[in-house]
Parts: sequence; structure tokens; C-alpha cells
Amino acid sequence: MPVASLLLQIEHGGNSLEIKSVSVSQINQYIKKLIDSNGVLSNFWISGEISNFKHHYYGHIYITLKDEQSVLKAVMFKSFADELGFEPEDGMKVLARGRLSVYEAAGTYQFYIEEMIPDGKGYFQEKFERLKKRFEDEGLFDELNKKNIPDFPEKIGVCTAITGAAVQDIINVVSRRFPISEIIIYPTIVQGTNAAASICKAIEWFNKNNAADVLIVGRGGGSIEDLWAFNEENVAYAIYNSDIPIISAVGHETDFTIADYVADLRAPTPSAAAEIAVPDKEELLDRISVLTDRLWGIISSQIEHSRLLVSHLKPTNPKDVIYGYSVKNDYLLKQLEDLINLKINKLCGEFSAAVSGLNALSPLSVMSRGYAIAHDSKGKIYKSSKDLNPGTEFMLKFHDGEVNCKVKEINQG
Amino acid sequence: MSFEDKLKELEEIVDKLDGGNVSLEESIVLFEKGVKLSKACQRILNSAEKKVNVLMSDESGNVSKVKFTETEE
Repeated sequence: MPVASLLLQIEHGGNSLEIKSVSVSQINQYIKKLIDSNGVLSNFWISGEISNFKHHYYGHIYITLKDEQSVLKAVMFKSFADELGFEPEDGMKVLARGRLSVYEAAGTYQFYIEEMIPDGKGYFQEKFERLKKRFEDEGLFDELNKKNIPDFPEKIGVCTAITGAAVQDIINVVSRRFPISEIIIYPTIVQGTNAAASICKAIEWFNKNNAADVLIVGRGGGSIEDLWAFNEENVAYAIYNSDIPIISAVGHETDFTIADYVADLRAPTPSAAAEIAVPDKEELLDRISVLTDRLWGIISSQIEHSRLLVSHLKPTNPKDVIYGYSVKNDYLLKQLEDLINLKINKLCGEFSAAVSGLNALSPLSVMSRGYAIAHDSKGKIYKSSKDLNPGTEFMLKFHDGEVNCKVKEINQG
Repeated sequence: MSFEDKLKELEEIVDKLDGGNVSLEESIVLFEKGVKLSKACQRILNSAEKKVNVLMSDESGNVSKVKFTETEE
């Protein structure tokens, strides 16, 4: 029933009041038709803030979208809600695509959501979480794939913008700590649509030409959109496939990008990356100093030890040794002589004594004292006076001769 | 020999001498070598000057290394 034909008439006067009216349902039906027939309202994007979020157990989502001045009821049926890539929350700003329609039974109109994404920062946040999960599942973050950063890199490849604080910080830190390393800068675009490709090109160039021992890939601070190139798929793979170890240094301490997860090591800032990449000159000089002290210490104690060993042999001069031996030799000879003399004297003494003894007993010495031996002409010795008779002739042997004798008289007594 | 190799050798010499099973003769030889290495390492560290180069590519895409001059912004 066209609206135009609906008339509300009130006839005054007379006794009857005739009002032409439409029913509630008719009005609601009419409005629904009106709205459904509007092409714009059947598919458009709306931005608003979530409030009164309810997740029905059937899977449908009910939201009241609002802005500063008014509200709009919205519903997202399960089949659409299942595709959501984030968890809606009260207070979250969203962009929702869908259609406006009338719920006749309640006499309300509401927004039927088919697609919903976080608005502003939330959009990137959600996208980042999705990418992070995907690459993690693919194994791009695995610890086992991470390479060690060399201790003393001869060449450091730097993939960052040629202007700005990041490159300057890296140069300053390396120059201070370990100027032995050569810094090679590959000027890289680090923001905008060309950034991802530029970063990949830089990493691939260093790899292809084997031009560095370690790479620092990064940039200074910025918003999540500014840093977005370091979340791109091609950058993730370029870092993953790099044979040269990579230290990522993107943004500030609290910023994390996919590049940070894939890299062999993540530094919170470009300066920190440079500190990780090279050792400190002063620490190395200390280390060398300690080693040198140890050298001196060891050699000194070793010489002292050897000297002590040698000093226990006295004398050390060969001449002295020989002299020592000859002195000893003389001494020994003398001792031998003395011993022999002693022995000889002793023997002589004994001999003399023996001889004297013999002498004392010898008949000759007895005879020299006055004793004579009486014997007959045959030499038989007269030992007793009884063996003789007066008138017998016998010999008397004195020590110095013999005498012929005749017995005169025998006296026994 | 690179700086890294020199430093490593110095450390090996000190460890060997510390071990104690080295004759006096060999100790003196190692000691002299160690002192030489120590001096060389110190010299390298103290005399090194920073080397910063930038890669420039020309129209045909050839890349060359050029000394980096800090630009004033």
C-alpha cells in the first residue's frame, strides 16, 4: 500500500470520527521494504566502537555499535562470525561491512554484519598476529636454524637507510669498540611500498657476493605502519634463507617485527646490534694484559724451580768436581796407608812378641844363661845324674862350645 | 694471521705453559712466541682506524664500494 495513499483523516463536526490507519505490521513492513530496496544500505562499511558485546552460545555475535552521539544495534551470524580474525572487545574500534535491515517483529532496524576488522592500529595488530602465527607454524622462528654470530667479524654488512640515526649509531659503536671491522653499508629503503623489496635486495646482495661475516638489518623507531616492511613475507624468507648470520634491529626496545623473530639474533636498537656484533677493544686489551702477566708468572716460577733443582748439586763447576774427587781420593789413600801400617805394626808387634817368647824358651838363650847340656858321644842327652857313673866320659855342651868331661864324683841331692 | 687467530694462539700458549708438562727449553720458546703475539695484538687494537664504506650502484647495476662520508643533515 503506497504511503501516498494512506490518509489520516479526522472529520470534525457531526457525531462520528473516521480515521484511516495502517497497522503496526504494515508500517514495519513498509519501512523494511523501503530500506531493503535501497542499494546503498544493502552493502556498506560502517565504523564504530563495540559495546555490549555478547557472544551467543549458538555462535551469533550481538554488538551495539556506537559513536559519540548515538548507537546502532548490530548482529553477526555464526557463519560470518566464525571467519573473524580477532577477538572483538568492548571499546574496540572496528570497521564492519554489512547491510541495514529491519527486524519487523521488534520494530527496530539493525545492522547485519558480514565482515569485521579492527580499525586503525588494531588492524595492523591483528594482521601482525596472523603473520606471526603463520611463520611460526612454518618453522621460520626455530632456534635450531639460528646461526651463531661470529666473535671477530672482519666485515659487517649494514642494511638500513643511508641517512638517519640508525646508521650513524652503528658506525659510532663499531668505531669505538672494534675499528678493526670494516663496515659496509647497503643503502636500503626502510619505509613505504618499496621497502620490503629493498631490504630483500640488500640481504641477497651480501649473500650472493659473500661480502660480510654478519649483517645488521634494521631501522630507527616508528609506528607499526612505519615498521611494516619488516613484517612482509619476502623479508621474512630473505632473512631465513640468508647464509650470513643476521642481527635484526628494528625500531625501539618494545617493537617486535617478524624480522626480529626470524633473525639469528634480535637487538632492541641499532646501537645494541653493533655492540652484539663486535667485541670491545678495552676488554680485549685487558684480556691480553692478563694473559701476558700469566706468561711472565709461569716462566718466572719455572726458571726459579729449575734453579733450585740445579743448586742442590754442589759443586757445579766440573773442575771443582774433579778436584773434589781427587781430594777424596787422597784422603782415602791415606786412610788405606794408615790402616795398612797399623796392621803391619800390629803384626810386627805380635811377631816380635812371638819371637821373644820363642827366644826365651830357646835352648840357646837358656844355655847362654849358664846352663849346659850333658850328652854322650852319640848325642844322647843325660837328663839325670843317675844316668852317670864315676869315671864315665861325657860331653858338656855349652852355648859356645863343647867340653870333654870325666865324672869324678856323684852327689844326689 | 688474523687478529682472532693471534689471540687464540696466545691463549693456547698460556694454557699449555700452565699445564706444567713443558720442559724449560720449550717453555722459553713458547714464552717468547707468546710475548710476540701479545705485543702484536695490542698493536693491532691500538692502531686500527675505522673503515666505513658505502655500496653504490651505477646505471648498469654494477655495485662498487665507496668510502662513506658522513653527510650533514
